[in-house]
Amino acid sequence: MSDVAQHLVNAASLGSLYALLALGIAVIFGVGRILNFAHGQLITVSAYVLLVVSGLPWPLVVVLTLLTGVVLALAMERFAFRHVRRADPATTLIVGFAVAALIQEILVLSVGARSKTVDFATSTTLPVDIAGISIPRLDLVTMGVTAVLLIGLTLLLTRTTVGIQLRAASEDFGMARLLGVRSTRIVATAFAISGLLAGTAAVLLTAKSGTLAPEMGTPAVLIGFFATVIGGMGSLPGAAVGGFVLGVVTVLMQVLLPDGLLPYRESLLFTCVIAMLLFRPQGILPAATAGQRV
Amino acid sequence: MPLLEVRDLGVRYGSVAAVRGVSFTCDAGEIVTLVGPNGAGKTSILNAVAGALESARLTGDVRFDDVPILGDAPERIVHRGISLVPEGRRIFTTLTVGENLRLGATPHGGSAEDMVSVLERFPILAEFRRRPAGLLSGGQQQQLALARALLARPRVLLLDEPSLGLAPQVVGDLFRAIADLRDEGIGIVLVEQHARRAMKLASRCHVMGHGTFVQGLEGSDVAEVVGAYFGGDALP
Repeated sequence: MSDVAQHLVNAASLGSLYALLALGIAVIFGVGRILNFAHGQLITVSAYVLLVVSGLPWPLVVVLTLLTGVVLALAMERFAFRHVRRADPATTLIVGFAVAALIQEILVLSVGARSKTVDFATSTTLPVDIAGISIPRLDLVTMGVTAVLLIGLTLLLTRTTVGIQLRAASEDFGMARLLGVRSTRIVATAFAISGLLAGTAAVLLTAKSGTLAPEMGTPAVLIGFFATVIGGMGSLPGAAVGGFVLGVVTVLMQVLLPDGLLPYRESLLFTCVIAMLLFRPQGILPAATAGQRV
Repeated sequence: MPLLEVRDLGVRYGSVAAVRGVSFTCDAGEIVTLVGPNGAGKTSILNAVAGALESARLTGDVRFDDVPILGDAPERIVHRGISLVPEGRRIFTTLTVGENLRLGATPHGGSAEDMVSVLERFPILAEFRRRPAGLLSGGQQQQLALARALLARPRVLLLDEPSLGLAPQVVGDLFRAIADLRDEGIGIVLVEQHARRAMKLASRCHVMGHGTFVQGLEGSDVAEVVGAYFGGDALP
């Protein structure tokens, strides 16, 4: 019984992290129909800033890391994506790849390609014992932070004018503009939220692994994309659900697969995503979108 | 000087000319109708005026209060005082009725008086304020689309096929609401399949074919001429 509970906690913790990654991608895709492959680099750069400021008191470290994610995301929107917002999806996809490659190469040239260790929140990796279940404190923090962000995001989206505008733009961007919603402001807001989520992921990933490398954002962004595909592209609740489903499936595979198949865990996971695309391409909770007649 | 003036408007989608050399005006407190077969370019004209055709090539001139607006962003145009109620209503189905109305008030922030006035005009919306808009009936959705547009305090309303898919009784209510809006001083450009009904309200009618105006009609003989054009049986 305690084993099952332990696995559930592991799944919830991993799912929380994946949900953060997926939400960061979904919020931009939902509003601007932009697949931001450079989201991983938001995480990477934020993590490197964390490394630089890690000697400061931890609340300041967290704030500066989150701020980095937000500022870099806004800069991406302003200097790269805004110019191709009306282009076809393939163009924005290529711009995303280009921005990702640019930032990664700048990082490699400036800080080197080798991994670095960072001494941040190391005590959070120690476990606490709750009802016979050993839970690393960082897992509790991850679940707690995700819960707070999900509640905060829900309140923002349902109680504030800008949140309602974001939801409207996700459903029918053109109609939202016809009602007076300023496209530049609403897309920038989506990028800022995405940057905040990337900064949060950077803090949690760095605290979890204790290391960082210029390519650390790439697997994170892939996981985020898979979770959004599973949940439903452009759907924020879908992204959160997709993240948790991916976390649960990952932990289930870790537990249930025979030792001989464990090296193929990721391959099997990706096979599940392909199957999802084949049999339910709209995802678990598809986004409501509207067509537009010209 | 007319409130809205469209001069020699052209709309091209790639190599296809959807609208060619169209000119008309709309003043405060009048209804101008555009009628014609599907594909004649009526929707393209409304979308071009509202700024919703950013991917098309637009030529000519559109002036509102003598200020050129052709090619402006749609959010700028609605702030100026032109609101579009598009074909199919395009309400936000996952948002509540109240949230849809709140969005309509975006250009002016939404005063309580505006909201009260709109809900008095369409009382069913007050009753269903917390309901997801996608659950409303077709007629209720059309009321919501109109109410949402009115919250932007438009001086010109562009209505694209507002009666599409509605029951005859609901269509009657809708046309009464449109007449009320005209009487309150709002200029209305109406694209409508219920041509005879639209003609009764209109002070001017432009008949379209193949992207251009083929006839301009005014006054009491409008319905008769349009009836002859489409065939009397085709008119409701």
